[in-house]
Amino acid sequence: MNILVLICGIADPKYPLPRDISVSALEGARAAHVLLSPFDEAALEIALKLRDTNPAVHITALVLARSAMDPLLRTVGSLRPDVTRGLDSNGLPAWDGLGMARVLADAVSQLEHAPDLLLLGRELGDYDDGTAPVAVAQALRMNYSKLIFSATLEGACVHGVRQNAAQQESIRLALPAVLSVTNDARNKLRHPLLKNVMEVKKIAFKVLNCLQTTSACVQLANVGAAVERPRSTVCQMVSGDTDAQVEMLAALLLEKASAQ
Amino acid sequence: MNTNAKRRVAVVLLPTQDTNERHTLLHAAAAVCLSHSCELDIISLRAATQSLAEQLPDLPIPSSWWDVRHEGLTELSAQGLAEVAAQALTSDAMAHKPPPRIVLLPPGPEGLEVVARLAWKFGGAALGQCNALGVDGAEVVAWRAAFGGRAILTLRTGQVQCFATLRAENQPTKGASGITPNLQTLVLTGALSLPSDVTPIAQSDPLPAVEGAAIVVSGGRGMQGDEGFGLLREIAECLGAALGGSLPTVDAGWVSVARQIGQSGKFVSPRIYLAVGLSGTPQHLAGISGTTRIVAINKDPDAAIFKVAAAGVVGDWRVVLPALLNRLRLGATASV
Repeated sequence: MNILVLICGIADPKYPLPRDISVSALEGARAAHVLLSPFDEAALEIALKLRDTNPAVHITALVLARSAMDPLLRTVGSLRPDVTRGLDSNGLPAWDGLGMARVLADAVSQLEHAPDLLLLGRELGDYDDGTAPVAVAQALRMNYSKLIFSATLEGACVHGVRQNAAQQESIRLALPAVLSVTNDARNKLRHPLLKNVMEVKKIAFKVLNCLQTTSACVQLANVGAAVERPRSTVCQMVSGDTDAQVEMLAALLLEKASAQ
Repeated sequence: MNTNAKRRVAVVLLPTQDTNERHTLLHAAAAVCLSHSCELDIISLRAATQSLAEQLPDLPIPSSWWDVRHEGLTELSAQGLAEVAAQALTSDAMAHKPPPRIVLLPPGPEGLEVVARLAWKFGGAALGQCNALGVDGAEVVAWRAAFGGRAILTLRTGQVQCFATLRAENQPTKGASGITPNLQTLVLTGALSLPSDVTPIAQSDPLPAVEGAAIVVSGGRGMQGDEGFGLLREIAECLGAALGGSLPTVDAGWVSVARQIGQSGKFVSPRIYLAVGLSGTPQHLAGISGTTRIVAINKDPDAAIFKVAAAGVVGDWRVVLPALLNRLRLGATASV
């Protein structure tokens, strides 16, 4: 049973973006402070849990990386997937979900082990908003489900629990399948052992090259800082003691509640 | 390229959308059509068992409303909906028109999946979750958030067909005059993929969903645990409001991912958004409409949330929330 986890990473949101935003500046920000997104972490943890319960599971982690020294490779490698590979992310059309899907499908075809199950976060990195995972499934002609919390393997099927609108559902899909994973408190990524953290520092990770013929059908014409949307009112700070503050809040909320 | 293809915009309405969401999206799509001299087709999908219960909205431009039914559409999965939408777009009834240059869907995971599936099927461009879009010469231009809502991308494509979700903020003006769409029925019978093996998991959450709620009571990392969210839930119950939370609170398990608000979660446009223990990061604010009145409670007077709030209380939620809950339980009569 071969499981592939696709990892993209994000620029750490604790650090502000560069003042003069450009594609190269954003890449620089990501390189300086890269970390796994909550969705990357959840996908990786599901793969590790599946191997915990079934030693026949073989995990390959494919990490979008700027170089063999990308810290994300070491972060992922320290959690001991069976194979950790980089995928050269330089020049990829990260804003084009379908273009990325074609690149990733090509990269998957270069791997030694064809995946039975492909796990990835519900958003593939900082540029994606959720189109890339389903496009990857389309490109690989695999079954697909989104917003997965947990998964178990049952013969030739994968059984997952997912969020669908306000409802949680259990879904069974025939393999091969792609699952895009969302964050869940019951699925926090484990910590690596210190010896593994030290060990990966010595590893020279292999980085695959991307398909050179892929051209994005969507061009990134410009990138700018999000402008805080103007609000029509200045914040009215409610003064007085707690009782006075609560009275004002209650009046405001009850007025709107009664208008429903 | 067929230049006539630039002249049509199609909106695909999903059966899971409520009427307000539909009308907001339709008015936003009509605004795009008005700005760029496009015709508007509305493709309203419904399951075999659903009836056409809604009143068609008046729009500022003439439009065609395609009431699309498929007897085989029993499971409202994104895959099934995408397949029926694709059949509608290529049906004989629509084939005499040029293909729509832009196909718009409602924002959210379901709309995004349909976008990606349709774009893949038609070899078009998937523009993702757009805040705005338009036509510039031979290209479609779209604006969308990235980096957790901190950056805005300007995307351009010359693809003949573009697929996107549109996050519309402006509610249609009530009572505004307009033109009722021309209603046409389209019954489809093309083959659909087998439905997935899905079983609902019983849950008991009596609170309304955040989408479409008039009041959302929401908490952030500052709530520090289940206890605080228990108070928020009780306040929401008192008000008949929805409960929401930021991504870190979902990560911590204090609130369900179905209630996650922000760039990676739901986009909400309630009249009041009660934000407690929320610092006001761009990632979270990206999920709140600019027309919403934010009422913030935070113990940090310098919290960024106060820069966008209409009203604010500087205080510890451990003090303010229990008192507020007691006051709300007394109801409106207590203040008379």
